[in-house]
Amino acid sequence: MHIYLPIAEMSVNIFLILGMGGAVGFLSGLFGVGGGFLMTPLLIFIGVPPPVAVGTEANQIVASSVSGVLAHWRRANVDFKMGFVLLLGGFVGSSLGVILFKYLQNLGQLDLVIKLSYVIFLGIIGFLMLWESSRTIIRSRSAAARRGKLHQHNWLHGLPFKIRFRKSKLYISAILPFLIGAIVGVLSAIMGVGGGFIMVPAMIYLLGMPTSLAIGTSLFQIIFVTANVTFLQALTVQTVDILLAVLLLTGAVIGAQFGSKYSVRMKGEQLRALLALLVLGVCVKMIFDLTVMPADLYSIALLMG
Amino acid sequence: MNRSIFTKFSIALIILFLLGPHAYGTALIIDSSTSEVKVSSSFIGTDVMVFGTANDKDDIIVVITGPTETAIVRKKRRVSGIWINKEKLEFRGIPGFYAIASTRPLNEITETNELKKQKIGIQNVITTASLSSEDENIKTFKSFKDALVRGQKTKGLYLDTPLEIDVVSKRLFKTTFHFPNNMATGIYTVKVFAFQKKRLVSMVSKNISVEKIGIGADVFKFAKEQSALYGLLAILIAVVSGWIASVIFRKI
Repeated sequence: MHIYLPIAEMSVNIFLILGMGGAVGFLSGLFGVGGGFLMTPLLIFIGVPPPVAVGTEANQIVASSVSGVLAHWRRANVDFKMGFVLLLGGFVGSSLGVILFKYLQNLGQLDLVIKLSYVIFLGIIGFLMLWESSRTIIRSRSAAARRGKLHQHNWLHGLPFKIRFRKSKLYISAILPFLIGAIVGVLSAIMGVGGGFIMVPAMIYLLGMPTSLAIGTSLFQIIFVTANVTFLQALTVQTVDILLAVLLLTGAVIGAQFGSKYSVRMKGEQLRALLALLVLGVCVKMIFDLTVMPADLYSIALLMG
Repeated sequence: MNRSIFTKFSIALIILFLLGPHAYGTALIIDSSTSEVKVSSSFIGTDVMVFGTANDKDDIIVVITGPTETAIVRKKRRVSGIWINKEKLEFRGIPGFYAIASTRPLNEITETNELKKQKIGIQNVITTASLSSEDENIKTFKSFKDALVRGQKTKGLYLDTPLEIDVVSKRLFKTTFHFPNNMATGIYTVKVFAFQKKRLVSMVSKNISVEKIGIGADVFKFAKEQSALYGLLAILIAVVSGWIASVIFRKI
């Protein structure tokens, strides 16, 4: 059964889109990530124009983050104060990102920057997560885990504007979460992702937040950042396809619920290792796209009029 | 749909017979199975039949041209192991859709110059005149133009080799074009040329409008005309759906 997407201006199979939403939703529920880094490349792969894929995916992530954050809120896993600081950075970053997006599109280098961003960020994050989680798995098998400090102290703790985040049991400079929020905001606008896969590790490893709190808080701030991206993309380039978003989110919210139920049965480090492999998989695919000689060296961009 | 094609086809037959032998050597009459293609939310593309009557010995060429667009064609080059868009060429005023059908190969119907003059065949539509700036790009024009035609062809938007025209009886002809689901909306022009002994004897044209209808059309209009409100609505829908999903699944 086909449906014509009014903004993407193409017809797609409803069940293909629902299925993609469901599959990515399941993984996002399982790993506690938005799944944008999987969905946006998938949408582009089935022929949705990249700008529409990015704008629409941002809209869909709003929905999955709302549904996710409510579950975490009930378990008191959201540090609103931290979320607010991240959010301030996120607004600045995503607004800059939307401007950058349009600029790159005019230059004809948008695809390249999207793919390079995927390679760089997925590569770094995937590698770090795999390294950390496999170390944890090995250590937990060899001996009883050593109990260390809550987190390591380093030069980052010497920065000014220190704020006490009671919920996260942290006393750190507000500059750090603001910067993390801003960087992820830029990526959110360019890559069509929520940025959870960068935000959560950054919060755990750079800020020293507990994992469960990091996931809940990142979901909270992703809602607002992706809502900002949705609004700005709709306003400036009109690339948000509501119909496509609704189809995707229907599949995704259902998939996510099953995913999160399933995730309870698995250990944190195992989940992180699996997610790391998934992230590295997408990264390798992008490296392949960039370095293998394309079937057609020419690409065409059509503008009306 | 089929019924309306049939009706129109029958009308054309009746006209043919009414004109009778007296009409020999006169008019080229054409029509199409539809004058309005409606792109609804279930649109998956459609076939449009163009038919008409001509003189006995006429050679017929049918051309359908879509609304004009600007195409930017970019060529990738390898820079330190990565394929990057480098050179570009901008084509202005080119058709977003181009389809052609003929009774015989074009070069048998008429001279190259005449094809050029009448802009028949995609190579006579996209010329160096379509370039936005006339500079050293002329050298690379052919490879970029070929890439453009190739790209549009794979999307089903261009035809470079003419389709066949069915000559039903001596004077009645018909041919069917496919309008794919990714076609742009706007006015499409059907031009039918009749040639005799390599000379153009007659040309008739008609328009076919392709427009979005139903919810899809409303959504498109809303997104373009009230972008801010559209953006807010998109967010609202997402928030409400997320919330509903969370409530439903908590109960289960």
